[in-house]
Amino acid sequence: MISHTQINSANSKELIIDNEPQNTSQMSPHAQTNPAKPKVLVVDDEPQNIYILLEILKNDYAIMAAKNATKALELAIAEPRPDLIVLDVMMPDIDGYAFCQAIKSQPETQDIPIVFISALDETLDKVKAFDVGGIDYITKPFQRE
Amino acid sequence: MNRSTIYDTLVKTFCSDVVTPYGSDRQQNYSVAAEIHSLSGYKLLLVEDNEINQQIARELLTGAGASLDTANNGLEAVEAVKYNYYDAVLMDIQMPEMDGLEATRRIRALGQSDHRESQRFTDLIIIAMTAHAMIGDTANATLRERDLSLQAGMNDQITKPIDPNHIFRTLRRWLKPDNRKIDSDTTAQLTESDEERLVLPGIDVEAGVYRIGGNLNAYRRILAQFRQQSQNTLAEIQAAITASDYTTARNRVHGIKGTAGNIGAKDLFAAAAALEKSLQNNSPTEAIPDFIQTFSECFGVVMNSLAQLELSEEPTTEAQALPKPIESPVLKNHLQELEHLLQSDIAAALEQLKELNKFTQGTTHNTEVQQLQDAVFNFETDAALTQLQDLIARIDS
Repeated sequence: MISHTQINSANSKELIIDNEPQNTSQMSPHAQTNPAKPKVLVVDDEPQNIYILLEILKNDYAIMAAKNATKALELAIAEPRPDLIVLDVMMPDIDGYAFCQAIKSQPETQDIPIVFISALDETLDKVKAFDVGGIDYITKPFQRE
Repeated sequence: MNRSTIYDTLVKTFCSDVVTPYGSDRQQNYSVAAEIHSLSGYKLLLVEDNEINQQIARELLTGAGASLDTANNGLEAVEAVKYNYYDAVLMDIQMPEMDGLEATRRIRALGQSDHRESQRFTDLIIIAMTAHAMIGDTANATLRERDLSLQAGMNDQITKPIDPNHIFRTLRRWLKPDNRKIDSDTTAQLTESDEERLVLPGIDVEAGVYRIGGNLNAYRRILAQFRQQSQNTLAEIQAAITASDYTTARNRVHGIKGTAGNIGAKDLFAAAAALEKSLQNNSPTEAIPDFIQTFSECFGVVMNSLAQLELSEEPTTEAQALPKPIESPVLKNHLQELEHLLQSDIAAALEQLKELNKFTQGTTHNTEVQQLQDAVFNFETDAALTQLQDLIARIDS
């Protein structure tokens, strides 16, 4: 369920919460992590791809990022856990299917939905993706409609 | 990667028990990407009793940048418009407590009252959301709903299930452009003149910028990062092929392909895809040299463009007005927060670092903050955490 949209979230960025008024530094606080924002873990070995997803999703989702499966597993298991994992099929350490199986075999993480990313010209083994517990897939790059 | 696909997937995922109500053919004619930020600066009231419909409309509207309040029935809507200023109201017709028609009549009645702001109740844009378009006698039912809505004082109507194109088109028709507030986010967006200036051979700038929601600054950063990381890639690929290490070659080409597609480097994408395929079988084929030739040509064009882009980049004017440097205890607090953000919300971490970079200019810590920023932009979270902890320790000493 989506319940993260706060009516005034856009304004909260402007608040100065610096509790040291004598400090003349005007640094405003960062955009606060909204605890109600769903957390999406993006796993891709290409930082540009993560960055593009981050730009697209950052207003509505808190983005966690990992460039390899090992780091991704670590982030998936530690609190706060992601609500969703978006996963590149092809990664340098282990492939996306194996990663998905690893996530699904751990009691702490088995309920986290996983969406696969695959390049448009590759045939994503959809059966395999769903077999290992993936719930959906998206393709890259974007083709204008 | 397609914003609307991602968006749909996420909506589906987070509402997995919901049948998406706006029709299975929606992908053919709608792209949320086109509408991103198109509603930013506008404040809307959504009046809808069905929680699922509320959520979907909320995703759509806030996704396009609108600030949104919701009311669950007509009574709540009348109260909401009394105490808040909205650019438009989207009003369901059938609701418990008070239906949309009655709510609209009451709002318009406030316009005739001696309320000191009566004019704004007369001028308020109210758009009906009617649900009859799917029922048997479609045309008649819709017409009747439309008449009733207009009679009650509504300005326009859209039908449910919500068609994103229709809702955006209708809102754009009614929303006054001068209501739009310019905030810092909006100014960072692409303007036509920016886009005109950015002509890069081998790269479809428009497609690339479009993909990340029109944020030209973000796009430029991605391009710079791509250039930096790919300096040696061609040589590495060639060396790997010479050494018959086709797996390495294929992986490097695959990486270039993915990013090339995303930044709009279409020829390079196609060349990389062809080369990757020819490397698939782990055995050299006669065609490989041709594929490499095409690939390296396309690669060269893109890298040249990116080099030109960096040369043409204007120096930042920020240096002219240095803010007062941040004091160490405050810096330390921000860095400690950053430690948490790095593992939970990277976008917020990047925002934080941008600010820190600005406020440490001219101090001894600025270089370290910039290195930290680079690590986070590369999503080297572990390296960033180590750097961060070192920096905090140094401030302590």
